[in-house]
Amino acid sequence: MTPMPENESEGKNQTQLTLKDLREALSSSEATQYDDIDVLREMALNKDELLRKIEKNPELSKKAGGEEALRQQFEDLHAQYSQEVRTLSEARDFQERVEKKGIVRRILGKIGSFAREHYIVTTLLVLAAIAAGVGAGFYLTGNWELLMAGISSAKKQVLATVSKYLPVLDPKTPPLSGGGAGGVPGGTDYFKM
Amino acid sequence: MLQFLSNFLVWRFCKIILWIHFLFEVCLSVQWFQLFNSCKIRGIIPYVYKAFMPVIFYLTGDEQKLFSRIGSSLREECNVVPETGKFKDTPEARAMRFRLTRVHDPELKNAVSKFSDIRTEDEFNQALQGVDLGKINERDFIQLAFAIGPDGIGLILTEVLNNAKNEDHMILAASLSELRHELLESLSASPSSA
Repeated sequence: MTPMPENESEGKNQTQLTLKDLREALSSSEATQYDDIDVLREMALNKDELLRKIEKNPELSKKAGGEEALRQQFEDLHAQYSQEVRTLSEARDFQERVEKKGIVRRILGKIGSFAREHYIVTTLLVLAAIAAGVGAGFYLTGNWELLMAGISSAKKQVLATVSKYLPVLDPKTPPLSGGGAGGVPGGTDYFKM
Repeated sequence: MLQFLSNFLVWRFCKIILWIHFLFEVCLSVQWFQLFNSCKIRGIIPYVYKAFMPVIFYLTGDEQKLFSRIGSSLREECNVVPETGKFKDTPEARAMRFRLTRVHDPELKNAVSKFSDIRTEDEFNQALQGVDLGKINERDFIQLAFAIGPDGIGLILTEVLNNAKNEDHMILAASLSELRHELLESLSASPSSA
């Protein structure tokens, strides 16, 4: 996995194009606010269109040292984040497949009543949402450890089972400051195990 | 002349017959439509659907064993297809998927935020009960399913197969197996998984 340091520009050649540069260029030229994942998604789904957009930005061209250099640096950046780009392409492919077949509609129509009786299903999906950065205060305040200390062994077993499928639900993990909801690419070591 | 007149009359007669037939067909169609639209005949649609579209389960070997323990009446009209997806998930790949996941549903965010202050099992149970999975935004569910990966979906599927008691559970299990199948297809299609 390509590490994404908090400030990508630090410790690198200052002229090297970064995700932050692309994010700022796109956010300034369009009404939408882009974050790093939006930029990576554009890179994955419409690379040429993204390049066309950033080529229109004179500041970026100037920073990179000309249009040709900008193109080259864009390609380098694309290669640097190839794993992320590939994952986002897979996510889009998966989304299109299941939307086309209406699979999730069928699941959502039936899962509610089942999950009410079998809490492992809700536990897995809720903790997955937490791991995905929604309501990450759960970790930041160290409540995971407190919860694990305060619950019955049966539930602890369920949580341990569920934790296998999630990247950050490790009871030994100390609470991390500054990660969580803002832990997008460019964030800290929030996702390191 | 007589011949011509006779042919003409026959032709007119045939035309009238054809018109009557046409009108009869139209009336019949309207009748069929009305009959089809009535509740009684609409009720047969699921059965017709089931007859032509059997429920397909994509199951691994262990899951097939669980499936065979389900009551035979529930297993009728179900086709089991061995799941042949070969994608091998890793903690790193999973972490990457979570890292790139975005959930937007305000209700889900609100439900999850309640977990930030829990410290006891009772509070945890209460927070869990407040989550209605059926109301999750479709795209958010897809994102979460992608992040959890085929093994996590398999965990839910196993739970459903272990506790399947009615037709709804069977449809849920079949849909989950199909969801995992599609995920395996998407992940296996990627050059990184080769």
